[in-house]
Amino acid sequence: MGSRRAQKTDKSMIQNLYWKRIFQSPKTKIGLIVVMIFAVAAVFAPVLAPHDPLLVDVTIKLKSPSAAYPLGTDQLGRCILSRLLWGSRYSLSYSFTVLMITVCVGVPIGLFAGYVGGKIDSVIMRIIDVFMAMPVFIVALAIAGTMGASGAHLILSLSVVSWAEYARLARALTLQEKNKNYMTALKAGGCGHARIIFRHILRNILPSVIALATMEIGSIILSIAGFSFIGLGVQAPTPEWGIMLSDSKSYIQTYPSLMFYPGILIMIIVLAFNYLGEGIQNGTAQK
Amino acid sequence: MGKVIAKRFIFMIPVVLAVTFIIFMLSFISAGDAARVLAEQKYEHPSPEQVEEVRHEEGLDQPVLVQYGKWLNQALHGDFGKSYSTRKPAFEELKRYFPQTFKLAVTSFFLLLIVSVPLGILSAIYENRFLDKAVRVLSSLSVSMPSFWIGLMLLYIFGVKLKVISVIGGNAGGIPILAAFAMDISFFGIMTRLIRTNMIQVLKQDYIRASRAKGLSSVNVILRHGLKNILIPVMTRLVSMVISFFCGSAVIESIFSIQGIGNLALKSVVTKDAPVLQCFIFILAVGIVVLNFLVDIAYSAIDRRIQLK
Repeated sequence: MGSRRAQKTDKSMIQNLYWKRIFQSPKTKIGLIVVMIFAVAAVFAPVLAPHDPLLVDVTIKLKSPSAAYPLGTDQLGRCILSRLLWGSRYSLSYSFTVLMITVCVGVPIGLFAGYVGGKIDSVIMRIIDVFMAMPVFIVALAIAGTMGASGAHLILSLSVVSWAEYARLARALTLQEKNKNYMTALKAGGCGHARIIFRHILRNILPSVIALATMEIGSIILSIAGFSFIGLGVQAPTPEWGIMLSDSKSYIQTYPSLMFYPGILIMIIVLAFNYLGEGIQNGTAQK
Repeated sequence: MGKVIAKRFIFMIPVVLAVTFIIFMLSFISAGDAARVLAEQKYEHPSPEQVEEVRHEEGLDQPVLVQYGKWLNQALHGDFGKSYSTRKPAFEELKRYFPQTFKLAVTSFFLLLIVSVPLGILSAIYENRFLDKAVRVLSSLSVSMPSFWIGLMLLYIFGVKLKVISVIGGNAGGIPILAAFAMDISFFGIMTRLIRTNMIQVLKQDYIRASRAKGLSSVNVILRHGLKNILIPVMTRLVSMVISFFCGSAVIESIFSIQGIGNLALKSVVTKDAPVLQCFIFILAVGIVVLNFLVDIAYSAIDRRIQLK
């Protein structure tokens, strides 16, 4: 009993050190703070936004910033600040959905392929290769062209392509784990497959998966905004940053300030996630 | 070697078949009824009988696999059917739009190399000095920038403020360079970092020290030995970037109103022009598979240590 407790504190100490190293890096700190700010904006958008982001009032269209409209109004008289706040909601929730789907599909497939090995593994690898070779734009185009363009279909297209990356990573890491000595010990000790997979392999590969996922969020956010910008994603009048930019194109000569804010916000959030991802990756790399 | 190439080549076939079948199935189960779209073009307000008549004429009432076989056979002969909107062969349409995209891709390719190679090398030579730090900050920024936003900003600065290009766009004057810059924006950062990291590793190798000791000048060492040894990782990335010059051109083309294949593809999504869309996807998908095949062979030609599996 006593030894068991000692073992437990030992383990949690290692884990504490591990997280400490991640959180000590300034990149992680900056990234995390900025991401938290955006997350707060996303969650409390209905409370924080001074106006309804969809409320059209053409009598006050394209107004300069004022007390009532801190960042002015757009071409339909909608409050720009409110639309930006609501936009963070779409950006974050859509990208997290894509991430959840791809991780939940990709990791189990990769883990299974790596653990089982043999013919099944090589067949799964071939399938992964096919998906890795497919550019997102082609898939998004095919899906939007046949099923129509919408936010849900965009999530589908992004997920269809990116699960393969996680599958490949999970497989490679599982193969590494499989060759380690503790695996032989576990098998000799009569440990079942399920226990080996969930208690040991999954636990050991998870940090690397999380690092990849954090690095990927930025590019998912960029894709969502980009596809919405060209009309293959979220549709107007949704207050999404890509759509706001696409709307602003017609006013490039008369009212250019419309296109500044969404672009800057996209850049800041992507930069924050990239920093966070780098911080986590550096932490996990120096084991 | 010949045998391995043949094996690689045979492996391409199921991939092409799988990709084309997915493309075909997606259009097949599409919400839009192709027969109805065609009938609406033929007749003002088609009756159900007229729709069925068109369906039979176009062979849209046959089993899926038969239709796929027919479609694939025609596709391999460059026949994707006629565009629903212009009634010209879809392949011809694509060919008409291709040069603009090609021009943009070539410009982007060279601009990327001109900017990233020197920056990456300099950053590696002056590791952790001011120049390196500045380059690293710039590359973090460039990776996070939305290309479409940069495109709009460039259009604003050069079109509206400085009035050196036409705001309406097109593909003349300085626009190709600006469009290529926007297209490259995140690649600048990725490529510079990649060259920097690899170069730092290479510069620490013994043979670099040996060639320095031998009396070779620094420039010579870097260009002769350094660049040659980072070729493989750089090429891998460069190929995926070239692919996205063709597949991701739609965003930039739509901002600068360049009449390229990306714009054509977007237009055909709006007009539900299935033949053009299928042709676009087919050509690009097959192109990517073939390109990856060629790259695999090129690798083993550059570096004998890499064995073709």
